[in-house]
Amino acid sequence: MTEMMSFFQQYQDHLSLDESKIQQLVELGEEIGEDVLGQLTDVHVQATDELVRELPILYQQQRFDELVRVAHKFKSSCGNLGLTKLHYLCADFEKELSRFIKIKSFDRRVIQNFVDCITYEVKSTTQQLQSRKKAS
Amino acid sequence: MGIEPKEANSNKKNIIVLDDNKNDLLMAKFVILRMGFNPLLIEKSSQLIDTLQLHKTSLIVLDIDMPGLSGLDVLKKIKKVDSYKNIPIVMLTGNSDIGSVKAAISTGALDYIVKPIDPLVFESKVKKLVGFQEDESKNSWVEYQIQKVTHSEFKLGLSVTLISIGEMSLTLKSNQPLAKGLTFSSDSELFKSLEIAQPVLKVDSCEVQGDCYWVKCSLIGLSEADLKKIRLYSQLLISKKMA
Repeated sequence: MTEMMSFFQQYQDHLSLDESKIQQLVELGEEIGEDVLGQLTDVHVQATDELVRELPILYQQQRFDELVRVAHKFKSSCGNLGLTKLHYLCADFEKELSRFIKIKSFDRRVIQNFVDCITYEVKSTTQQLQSRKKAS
Repeated sequence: MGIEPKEANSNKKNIIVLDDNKNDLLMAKFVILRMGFNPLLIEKSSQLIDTLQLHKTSLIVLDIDMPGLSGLDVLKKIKKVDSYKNIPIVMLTGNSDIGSVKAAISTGALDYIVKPIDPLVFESKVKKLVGFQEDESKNSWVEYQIQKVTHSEFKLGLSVTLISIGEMSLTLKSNQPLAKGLTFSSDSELFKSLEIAQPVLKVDSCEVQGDCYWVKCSLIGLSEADLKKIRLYSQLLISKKMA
């Protein structure tokens, strides 16, 4: 856990939830008369459920190509919703995994740290998003 | 959730978005709705042709990174189909893989948008490209040389832009030199939109201007009604340029 937290420190400069992005989505929703933030949150929460389920399985089964794909897909959803820290965690995870695949050598401690940090941040941001959705 | 292709609103231009990420599809949908266009959202490459067959499409937004058939593969397929190859395409990319972007641009995509989708960037690029096809079809065309001796036609592989049009003449910018006296008929969308059936043009002069050629042509054998349409169009063109 300590190792994970020190690894996590690298991302402390990034916001967990970028309020300006959320505000942009709320305004977009008002302009077109749709619950933009609510709909994006619902789809994101669905994706996080899948991610939390899949990450440890794919890691244990060493299906690294699929891990890259999952990280890549999730990265973009996080960016759309202003989950900056999670976005950068996924982006770096994708990059590192791709590099490992290329050199055919896998640093399991690094991968484990990413999996732990992403899972931790996902849980925290999902709650924040849900309450932000209710508030709007 | 509104992800599936929906019936096109006949008054609005259709924009297809193909992406396997539901969140990106939704994001694109909201921005396209704000722009006043009709979003047609699809998650699988296999649905694209059906959607193109059902709906007249003004723009395709295509994700590069998709499982199975990649965005680049889809782009290549579209560019091989005559009926769809002129639809402007913009690529969506989630990473800075310059290689894929370059490959897409050289295959015929007009631009790319980096994810996560920034509504303002997305809107400005889409707006620019939706108008692209219209402008191109009005100003560019391929000509047919008239082989009077054999009565056969052969296509001049010209990329042509209209510069000005008068009652009896027009000036165009071409990527190839045209010989003085050459007679050819035009299948320009411009003349089609004016309901003038393949008018005949004769080259009066051709001058080099930078890396292209400015060609002055006479319009031959037009009826009074055709001339009237051209006069009106010419006035519109001038006022558009002045504005």
